[in-house]
Amino acid sequence: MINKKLVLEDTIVRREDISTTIIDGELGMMSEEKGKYYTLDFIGTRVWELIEKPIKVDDLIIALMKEYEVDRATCEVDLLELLDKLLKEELIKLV
Amino acid sequence: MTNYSGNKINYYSIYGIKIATELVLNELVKMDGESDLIISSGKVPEFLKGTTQSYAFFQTKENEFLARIKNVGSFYVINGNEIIYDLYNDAEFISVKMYLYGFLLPVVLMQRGQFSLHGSCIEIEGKSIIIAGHSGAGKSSLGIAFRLAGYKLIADDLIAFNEDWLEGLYVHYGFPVQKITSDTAKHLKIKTMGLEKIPEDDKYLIPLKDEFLMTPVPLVALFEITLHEDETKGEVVLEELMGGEKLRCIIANTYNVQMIGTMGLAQKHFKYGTSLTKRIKVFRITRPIHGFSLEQQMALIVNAIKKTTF
Repeated sequence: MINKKLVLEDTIVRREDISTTIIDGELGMMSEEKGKYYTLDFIGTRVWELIEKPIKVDDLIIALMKEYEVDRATCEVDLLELLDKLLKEELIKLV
Repeated sequence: MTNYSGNKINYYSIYGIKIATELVLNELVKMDGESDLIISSGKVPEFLKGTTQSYAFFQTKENEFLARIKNVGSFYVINGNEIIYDLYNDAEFISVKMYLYGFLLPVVLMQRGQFSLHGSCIEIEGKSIIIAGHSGAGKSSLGIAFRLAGYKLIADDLIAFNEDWLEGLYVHYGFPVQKITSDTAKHLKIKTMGLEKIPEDDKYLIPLKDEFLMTPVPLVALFEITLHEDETKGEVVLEELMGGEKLRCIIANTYNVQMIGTMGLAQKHFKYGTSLTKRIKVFRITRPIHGFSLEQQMALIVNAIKKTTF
């Protein structure tokens, strides 16, 4: 279990061995290794698309702020919370 | 034991499985001599060799499953087409049957790459629906209430689907029996006298006749019954689930979902659950914790089926 808290300078990427599916625009995921199922909401699903290739957390925030009407502070807090969870469940990895 | 018929082979059909066995399984629908699963008495291995996953009372590996059940016996399930059993002398036959129907047949289906849901399947207006939910949410009571109101039951407890969904998705019939707890029976004023009781389980078996439907009916929706967290909330609420919530509901209501990973079938199950999620509508019914709301729940379901285009 990884309990690291991500910072803006970290570069992350989604893991390739996670099965995914889109249902009504939302992502369902399964980790074979953990035998666990996950779902992401609409914005989480967009984040998953954006981390297909390695990206710096800071750049991810900038990308999301361009797409959604959200202030920097909220975006940063919400995104880091989501990414920490994804990292903890080993659905993404640090590059 | 009087539950064997000697050399005579009996043929039954349940969950789309055609069984040939020397056991007398009176609850099941009888068939003519055709089978894709043989259930017979024989020598069950002590343990599985090679790479296996071991748990308290069962062991699995690809296409093999071994279970040792206290006071009942040992069972060996192979390739989705054979069950070998070795029963304890004092095993109660009703317990053997309950493990067979509720534990081993689902394993047979899983070995065939088919995954079942946990719930009841009922026909409404020429379509079929699944009633699901956690134990205690009241799905059995609702299933029984529907039957008492004249609706037909297709399957109770285990919901197994047909194989080729191109010809339409439907639920295979189970067996013409509905399980009922003594609490539910009291609540719905059903007499349990004379009904067969499952040992070590507070459940009775109600045999069904005309209330049981064996013809395939297109499956259109699943209704998950949940309870209001707030005790003071009195209304019954119906909402349609979409996206991640919908998928989670299907996955969570999979029969013996925790066993699938141990059999190395998680990936297959995820794909199966996804296809199912895309094929049917999923609704959640939230009901008050206290009071009688079965009538209201039934009305909401029937109404949803009538007014929704599938």
